[in-house]
Amino acid sequence: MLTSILTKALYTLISFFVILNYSLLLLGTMARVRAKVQGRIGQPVWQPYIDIIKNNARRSGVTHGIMFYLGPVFRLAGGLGTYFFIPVIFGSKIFANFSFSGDVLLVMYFIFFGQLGMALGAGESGHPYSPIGVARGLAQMTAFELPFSLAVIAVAAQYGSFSITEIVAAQQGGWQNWVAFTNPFAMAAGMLAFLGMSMNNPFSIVIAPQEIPIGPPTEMHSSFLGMLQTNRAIFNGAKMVLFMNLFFGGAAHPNIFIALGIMIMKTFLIYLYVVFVGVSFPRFRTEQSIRFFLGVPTLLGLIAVIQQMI
Amino acid sequence: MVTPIVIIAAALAMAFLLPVLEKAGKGLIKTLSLLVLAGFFAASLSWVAQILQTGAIISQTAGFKAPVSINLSVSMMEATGLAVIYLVALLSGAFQIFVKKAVWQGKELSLYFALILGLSGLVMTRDLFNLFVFMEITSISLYGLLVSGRDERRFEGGFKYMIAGGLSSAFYLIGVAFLYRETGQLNLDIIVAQSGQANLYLPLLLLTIGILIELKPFPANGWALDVYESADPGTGAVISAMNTTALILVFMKLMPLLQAFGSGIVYAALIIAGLTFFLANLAGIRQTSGRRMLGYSSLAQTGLILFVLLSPSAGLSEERGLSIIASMLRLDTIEVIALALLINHALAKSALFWLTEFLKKDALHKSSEEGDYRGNRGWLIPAGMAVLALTALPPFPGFWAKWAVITSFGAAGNIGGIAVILIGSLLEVYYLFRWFIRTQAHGEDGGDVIAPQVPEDFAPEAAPAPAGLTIKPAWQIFAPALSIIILTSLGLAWAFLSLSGGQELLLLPLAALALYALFDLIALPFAVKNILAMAGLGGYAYLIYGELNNMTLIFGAVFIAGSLVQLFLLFNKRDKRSGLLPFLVMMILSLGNLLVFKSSLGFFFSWEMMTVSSFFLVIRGRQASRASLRYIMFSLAGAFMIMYALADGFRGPLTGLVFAIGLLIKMGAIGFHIWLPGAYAEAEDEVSTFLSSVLSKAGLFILFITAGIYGQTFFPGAGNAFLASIDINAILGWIGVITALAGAMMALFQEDIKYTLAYSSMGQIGYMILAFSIQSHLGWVTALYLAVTHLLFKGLLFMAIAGVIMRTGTRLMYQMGGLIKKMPISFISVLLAIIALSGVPPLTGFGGKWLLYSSLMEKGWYLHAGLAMFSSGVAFLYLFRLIHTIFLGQPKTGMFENIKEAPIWGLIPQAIFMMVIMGFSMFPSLLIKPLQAAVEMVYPAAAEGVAWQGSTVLSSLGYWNGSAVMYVTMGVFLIPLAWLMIVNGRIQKVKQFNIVFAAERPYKPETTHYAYNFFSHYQKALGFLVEVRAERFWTMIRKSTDALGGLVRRIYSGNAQTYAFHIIIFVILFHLLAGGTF
Amino acid sequence: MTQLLYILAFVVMAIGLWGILSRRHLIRMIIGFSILDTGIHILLVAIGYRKGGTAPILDEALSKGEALMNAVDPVPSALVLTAIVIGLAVTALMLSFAVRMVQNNPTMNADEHKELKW
Repeated sequence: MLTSILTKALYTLISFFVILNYSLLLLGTMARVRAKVQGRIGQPVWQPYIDIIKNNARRSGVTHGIMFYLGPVFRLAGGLGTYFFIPVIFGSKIFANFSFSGDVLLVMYFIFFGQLGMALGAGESGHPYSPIGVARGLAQMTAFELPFSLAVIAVAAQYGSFSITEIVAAQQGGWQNWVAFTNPFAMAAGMLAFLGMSMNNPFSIVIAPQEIPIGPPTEMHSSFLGMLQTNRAIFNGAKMVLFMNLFFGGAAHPNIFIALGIMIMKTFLIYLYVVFVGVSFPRFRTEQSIRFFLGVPTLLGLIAVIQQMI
Repeated sequence: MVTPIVIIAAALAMAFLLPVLEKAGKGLIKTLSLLVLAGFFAASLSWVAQILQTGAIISQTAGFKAPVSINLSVSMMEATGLAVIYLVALLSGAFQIFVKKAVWQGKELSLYFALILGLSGLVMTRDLFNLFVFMEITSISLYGLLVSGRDERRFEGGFKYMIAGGLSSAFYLIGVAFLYRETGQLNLDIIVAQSGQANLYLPLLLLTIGILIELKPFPANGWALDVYESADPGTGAVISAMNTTALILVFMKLMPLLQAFGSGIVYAALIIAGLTFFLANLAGIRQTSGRRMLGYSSLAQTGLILFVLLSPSAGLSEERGLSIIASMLRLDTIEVIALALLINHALAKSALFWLTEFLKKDALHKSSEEGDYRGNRGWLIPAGMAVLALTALPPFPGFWAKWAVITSFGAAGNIGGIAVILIGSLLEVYYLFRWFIRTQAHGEDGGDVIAPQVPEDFAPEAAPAPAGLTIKPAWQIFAPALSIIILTSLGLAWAFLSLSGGQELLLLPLAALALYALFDLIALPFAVKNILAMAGLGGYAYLIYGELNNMTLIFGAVFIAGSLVQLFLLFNKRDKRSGLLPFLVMMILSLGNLLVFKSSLGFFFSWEMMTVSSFFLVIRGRQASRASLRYIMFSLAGAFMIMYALADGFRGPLTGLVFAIGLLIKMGAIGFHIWLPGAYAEAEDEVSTFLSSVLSKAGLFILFITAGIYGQTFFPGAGNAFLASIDINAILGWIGVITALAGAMMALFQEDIKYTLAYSSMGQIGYMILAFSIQSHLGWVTALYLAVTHLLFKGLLFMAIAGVIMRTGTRLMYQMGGLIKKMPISFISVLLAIIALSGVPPLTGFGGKWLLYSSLMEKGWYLHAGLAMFSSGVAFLYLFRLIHTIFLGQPKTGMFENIKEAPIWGLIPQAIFMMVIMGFSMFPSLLIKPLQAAVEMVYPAAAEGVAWQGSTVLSSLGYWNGSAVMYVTMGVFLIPLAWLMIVNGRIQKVKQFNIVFAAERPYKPETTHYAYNFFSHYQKALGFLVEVRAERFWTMIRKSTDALGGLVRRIYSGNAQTYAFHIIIFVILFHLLAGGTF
Repeated sequence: MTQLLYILAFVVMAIGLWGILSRRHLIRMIIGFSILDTGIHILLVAIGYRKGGTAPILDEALSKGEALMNAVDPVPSALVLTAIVIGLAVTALMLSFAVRMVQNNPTMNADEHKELKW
């Protein structure tokens, strides 16, 4: 019993370490890609590391209250939890995480956990911009949730399972078995929803108050901010792993390192797609993005679901 | 024993003597009058006793037998009818003598006795011409009584009455003349006995018309309305209760004759009676004068009694109480029904007429003075009970009679009759309840009961209700009070007869009502009463526990244990709050009774009791008049649909659908939801939580136990697979998911916290309907799971919010803010509740979502699943808004600086619910396994691949381990927390307003609370979804009904000649309906 | 003869009814009523009439047996008496109400007395 718990803890740590570093590097890389597109040199790829270390090293902090204090904790717990409920590498014990606790529904709903906590923490700061951002973010979230959930339903219906492991298992045996090819409408709906989920352009109005140097990042400073940045990396990684698993066959290989490589490649491409769209389009207003998500992406999702019904 | 003739003689003697005796002293004649009236009543009762032993009492006059002389006959129907008339006569006489001393003197009393003489003669005589004489005596003395009064218009009304009365007696007399010509007889019994008579059509037609006109049939009834409106209320009561009762008895006397010789006339009278009932109620809804409205109601009730009497199938019912009474009194069932309706109408209507005497003015216009009697028990209790009796709600005799009639009609397949009665009754419910609600509305409950309430910006809560008018001295209310007491006892007696035989338990809510009302009366401290209420609930739970099994046990826990915990909240306030506990306990017991009833009547009785008690809970709210009117209208409309389906015996899918719609109305499903937000929100804060978390499950429970009905397909033989699959469940499924989405969307745009929660309840009920309609093991477990958890988190929310409203004095969310520092425990309970409600792991809500999606996917309802996910996202929006705008952000300085945490009694039940939520979250199997056991009987788990592996529940699609999720969540939460505490050792706490934005400190930081119109962008994008369509639709229905009513009442132009013309039209119409030609 | 009486009765009743329905003047309406009543009285008498009959007084001139054959039916006559008395009382009351109505609203036109309606 004890050994199994210890082994699990060790595996979890490894999994956590891998995703943290990979995601931080990915963030740095993508920042540079974005800079190149915009004709700048951009930050070094290790800039995220510097930020986190620097923020955590700050000795003093200001808090507005308990909920404010707990906000980042909630946020990071949300990111970590989301990640830990997803199996990263198909068939790997080390990277199976805690995926035995629940299926894709659990992951979908656990995403809310961190968002809620963060929103509450920012809310307690009494800063008017935080609820504005939160209101926008939540509004946009419900909108992209619709095509996303339709896509998930279509996939679950296709394979008769909500279990991520089983969905990945069913996609093994070559790229032609990926959902992206067996159920392209679901993939399309899901990937469009993913644009909203990653809050890049054109759906970045949610974090707009952060860009102008006000709002939660100002209120959330020092180690609070460090925690948020850590979460940003992990949460991003978790989402990309989820989409990889749902639509692109997951990452599977007997050799764990090759499997990791596959994972890195696929998630890199998924993120590149987001950045690609992001640098190509201007920003939507909130109601515009709501209308967008309830338009074509929802339609695609409906087609995918109706396909499964027939 | 007094022979009937003595009554006639005594009344005559009184009529003549009183003006003479008046000289001797007013006290003398008043005492004498009352004694004689009491004697009449006693005599009629003694006849009842005698008839039971010896049969009908026949007394001959002048020493000869009929036909040579006139004979008086009193059988059981007449004796009981006379008892009613004499009872009202006694009460009415006492009322006039004691309360309206100035109006009634010897002259009036003399006329009054002449009237009673006429009425007694009408009922007793068997001679047709003698009947005419008594009719005229009655009319003339009534005309005389009309003279006394204050309203200047009474002469105009009286004149119209005379025109109509004159025409009616003309027709009657011509009829008698012809009848005599054809048969050579005037004695009713002899005419009936002479079979094989010549054609009696014309005489009987004229005779019937003569009697009917006095019974105010459509369209020849405009004069009656004018009389009711202008006459002294006491006289109105006399006409409506005594006169009508006597004339209906006369009509019943003629019925053997009609049935023997004029079936066409019976048919015509049936149609006219139905029309009168329906159209009088339709026109009644437009009344602004209370007395005229009561007049319309009288016309309608008279029409109803005739309709029932004439309907061939109305007496088929084999209802237990009815059979017992019929055999006890040796009457036909139909006669018992008619008698019950007569008593019900006579006593309730006269009580209402007397009560209008105490109103400041007889108008229903919008004006703030109207709320005359709020808080005045002496006026309100009899008025409310009279309205309940007239609208045939339990436990009054009208309820049982109506049930008997409707079930008889159902058994005979008389759908048209059911429709006429139920729709007409609904209209009557509308105007009577509107009147009642208006008379007790709070002064600040502005406007008509129809107009919506828009809260003013930063307006303080309405002040507590003013004491209301008091009736001084209080004994003046004795007449209506006594008549209601008698009526109630009769109803209770019937209830006891009906429900004896195993269902006595169902009477407990009434006992509770009486008991806790008594506690209110003796002014026990509220805390003591509340403890007694808890004890009562506990005792009740103990009583019914033995009868509960799986499914009922779960709902029993929701209804009774859930309520018991929430009762703690009531310790909050110190004032007496009369009436709260009686109705609350009654409601909870009625809910409990829904679990243990044994017959469809038992079910319907409990259902109506629940409706009535909850209505009186809603109406307690300060601005609840509009909400309570809607509540009672929709509830009763639903109840009537249920009644129809029960009577019809669920023949075919359409009846099943009607039943389902009845339940859906009660649950507030989309389209019928417009009563729900108001009722939940405008009720008192402590009551809302019971309504939303407990009462809302009643419909769901009935859905479960009637589940077999909803599998009926509409096109069973359809070759097309899709058509063949359409059953009621499919419709329920869509209604459920759309309700869920609509509820969430509407909750999103409310500024008023209680409306948000109310709409949220609506959405949650939608999920339950959806889950129920899946009709599988998982689906049902989901529905039950949602029901139980909804009790927990919605109770938690409403209780926490009640505390917040109590402290802040506002319900508008944007006026609050930053309360987390002042009310941290309330914050935690709201936080827990919204996490649970929104379905975020690791709390119980996620279990509901997981079960719901799994079962929907198994069923193949993918689109439903998608919509359900979307609405749960929307729910997340309003929940965040709720917690943010109340507890986070910036508080208003000055307004909320000194507020404290909610009182401890509000926190205790919250703490209990929080613990239960945490327990179920940690160990979901604690909750799910009993639920599975409950549905196991219908849908075995094994057959559908639902299994447990340790603490992981496996469906055919996925798995979920609630405990593991809890542990992981705690892990990922605690580790970063520990990290933060290590690296961030020295934190500095700053003051509330220490914020900076746009590089400046705001000048007035308290104005920066972002709360109003929180989701304006959402409204821009999707606001079109929640336009007030249902509201508009129902407004349109109301307006068109109003317009129709207006159209109908236009015929009553007020012109005496037009009324005379109506009578001629009526005669022609009646003749044509009876199959006659020209 | 009897037929003629019937016709007369109905003509008188029709005149009375027409008077009630068509005359606007309150007093004339009441007169209409009286005429209607008179018609009914004639009808009642007509029903009791027997051609060639004698007065129904049992004495030497009219034995019980003969009375059944020859006498006019006495019952309708008795009824008429009652009806006339009642008609008188109602007419008197109507007139007094009409007077009070006119005191409140000084016009004899029935159309103007429409305070109570709908």
